[in-house]
Amino acid sequence: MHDAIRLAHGFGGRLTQDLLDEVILPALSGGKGHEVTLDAAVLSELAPPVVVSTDSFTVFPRFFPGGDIGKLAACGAINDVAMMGARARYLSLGLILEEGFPIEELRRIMLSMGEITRQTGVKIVTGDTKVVEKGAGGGIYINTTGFGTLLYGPLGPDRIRAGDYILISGTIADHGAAILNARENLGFSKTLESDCAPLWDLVAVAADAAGSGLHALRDPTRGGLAATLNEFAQDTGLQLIIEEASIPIRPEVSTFLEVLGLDPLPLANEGKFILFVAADSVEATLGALRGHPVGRQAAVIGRVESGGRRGRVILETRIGSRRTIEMPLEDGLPRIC
Amino acid sequence: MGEASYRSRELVAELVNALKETAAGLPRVRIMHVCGTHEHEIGRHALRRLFPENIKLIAGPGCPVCITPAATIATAIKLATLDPGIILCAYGDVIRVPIGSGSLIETKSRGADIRIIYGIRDVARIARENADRQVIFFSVGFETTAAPVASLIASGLPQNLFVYCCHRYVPAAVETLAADGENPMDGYLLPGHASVITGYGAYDFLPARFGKPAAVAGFEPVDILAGVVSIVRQIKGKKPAVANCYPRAVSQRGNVRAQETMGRVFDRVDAQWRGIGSLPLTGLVLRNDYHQYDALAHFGIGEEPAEDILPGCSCHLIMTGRREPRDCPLFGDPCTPANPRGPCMVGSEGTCRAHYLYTESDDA
Repeated sequence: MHDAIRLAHGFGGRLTQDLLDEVILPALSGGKGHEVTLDAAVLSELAPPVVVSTDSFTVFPRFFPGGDIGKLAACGAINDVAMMGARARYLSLGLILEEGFPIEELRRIMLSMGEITRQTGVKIVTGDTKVVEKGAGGGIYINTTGFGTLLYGPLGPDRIRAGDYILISGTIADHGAAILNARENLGFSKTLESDCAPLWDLVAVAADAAGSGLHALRDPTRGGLAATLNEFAQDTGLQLIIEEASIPIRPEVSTFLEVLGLDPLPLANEGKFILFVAADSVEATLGALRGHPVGRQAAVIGRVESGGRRGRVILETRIGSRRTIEMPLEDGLPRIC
Repeated sequence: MGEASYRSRELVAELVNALKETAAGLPRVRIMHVCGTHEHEIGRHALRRLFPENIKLIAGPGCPVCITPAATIATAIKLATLDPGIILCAYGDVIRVPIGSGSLIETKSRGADIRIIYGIRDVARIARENADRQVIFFSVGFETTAAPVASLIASGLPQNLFVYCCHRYVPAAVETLAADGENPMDGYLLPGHASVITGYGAYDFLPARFGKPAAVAGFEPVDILAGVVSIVRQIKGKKPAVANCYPRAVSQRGNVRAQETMGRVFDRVDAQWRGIGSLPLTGLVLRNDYHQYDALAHFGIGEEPAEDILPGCSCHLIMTGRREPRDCPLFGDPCTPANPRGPCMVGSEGTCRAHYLYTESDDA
C-alpha cells in the first residue's frame, strides 16, 4: 500500500479495490475482513414510511478535540434522520479525496465512522470514491445519506402551537468553540471539545416520554440556536421567546467566547437538539432527557407565543431587557479589541 | 449563561431605578460614548430599552474599524497586492470594510495572502515562520491595540516584518468633538479599555475646559449603567468631573510604562477619521528611529486616494451623533451586515451593525 492517495486510487481499478479492501472496509467494519460492496443496495428491511437525508462534510481541521470529519459525517446523517422521528438503519458513503492525502489519515477517519455506525447499528450499504488532482480539493470531503423508518411523529413546524415550550437537550456552542479554537490555533484549554454525537437514543427517550406532546425536533448545527430558532419562527409565523439565563452553556465555552467577543447563539452544535413540546408533556420530557447520560444538562429555554408582528425570536436577556435574535449572517470574526 | 454579578438582574434594576429618579425632571440629556465595545454590549443586552425617555445614549466614533479612512484601506489593498510573496496581516473586522473599489476580503478571495490575526504575537510568529517572505502588519485601532504594537516595535521586529501604522488616539478626538458647538453633548461615557492605557486623567479637559461631565465605564451592563447614572447625577448637581466607574481596571494616570513606550515609538500628528475629516493630533505614526519598520517607506508607496463615504451613506453623520442608523436611507435596504455599504455596518462594534443585529423594536 502507498502512503498517500494517488489519482489511480479513484480510477476504479486495482488500486481502488486495494484501497477499499485494505483501508476503508476494514476500518469501517472494525477489522472483520472483506465485505461485498456494491454500487447500489436494496433496502428490503426498511419498512415505510422511509425517511432520507443527505449531507456533505468539509470541516477543517479534519481532526479536532471530541471528533473528526468521519465521526461528524456518520453522526450528521443519523441525526438528520432522527430529527424527523426516524431511526437511521442504512448509510451511503461518498468520498472525494485529494491526490496526496495521507492514507493513514483516511484510515483514522474511516475507523471513527465505523465506530459510530457499529455503536448505533447503522449499516453502510453503498459507497463511492473519487480522487481529484492535488490542489483541487481540501484533502477529504465526505457525503453521507441516511435512511431510516419513521417511528415517531409526524413531527415538524406545522405541529407547533402557541403555548408550546422550547427545550434543548444540553449545552450550546461546544462544537463551534472547539473548531474555532483548533482551527485558529488559539491555544485555549483543550477542554474545549466538540459535542459531536449520535442522538437517536436520546431522541427516542424524549419521544417516548413526550408522547403526542412532541411537536418538532431540530439539531442546531450550522448557524446554531440563532438560525434554528429563526427557521422555526419563520415556518410557523409564531413568536418564540427565549430566556437567556436558561440556556445551558459550559463555563469554559462561555469564557472563551467572551474573550473573543463572540456570541454563542450562532455557533454550531453537533450533538444537541431543540424540542417543541406541549405544556403538559414538558415535565416528563425534561425528566427523561435529564435521566439519560447525554441529556443531563437539558433545559427548558423558552416558549411559543402567538401575536407579534411576524415570526421572530425574542431574547429575554439576563438583565431583564428584551431584544430580537436575528438570523446569523456569517462566521463571527474576532473583534479588534 | 454563566453567573456574573456584573450582569445581576437585581443590581441592574437598582441602577435603572436610580437613573430614573435622577433623570426625572431633567430636559433631554444626550450622552455620547466613544467605544465600539460599549455599543456592542449596549445592543447585546438591549440596555437602551431600560433607560428613561429623556436619556439618550449616542454612539460616537468609537469603532476603530469604522473610522479607518477608505484611503487607508485602499493603501492596505495595494500593499497586499504589490507582490505575490507578501503576507498582509490584519484584525478580523477590518478585512470586510467596503470602499468604492472593493475590500480586503475581496482582495483575499482573488488570491492575495491576507491573514486574520488575533493579536500582535500572531504577527511576529507569522513573520518568523515565513522568513523568506515579506510580512506587513496593517495595524489599526486605538490605544488598546497601539500599546502592544509599540511594545513589539520597541523590542525590535524580525527583518521581514513591516508595519502599516494607522492608529488613532482617542482623548484628542474627544477634545475636538467636545469643542464642536454645533452638536453639543451633555456628557461623555469614556472607554474602559483605552483608558486602561491613558488613565482617566487624560480626559480632565472635559470638565475643566468644556464644563462637561464624564465617566469611564467598563463593559458589563452594571458598569455601563453606573457610568450613565454618574453622568446624569453630575448634570443634575451641576458638578462636572471625570468619574472613574471602572476602578478595577482604570487608574488616574493609567499605564505609565505603556505611555512611555508609545511616546518613544509614535509621534502624534493630525489624522483623517473616516467621514469625519482631519482631527488634530489624533494619528499615531512611527518616529524616525523606527523608520525602517514603516511599510510605506520600505515599499516606497504613498497613500492611495479613495472616497470615504459612498453615495447615500450616513456613516459620517452617525459617527458624530447627528443621525440615528434607522434614519439613514440605506439602513436595512440595501445596506446590511451581509452587504455593507458603509463602515458602520461592518465591524461588530459598528453602530449600524449593532443596531441591525440587536434590534430594539418598540414592541420587543
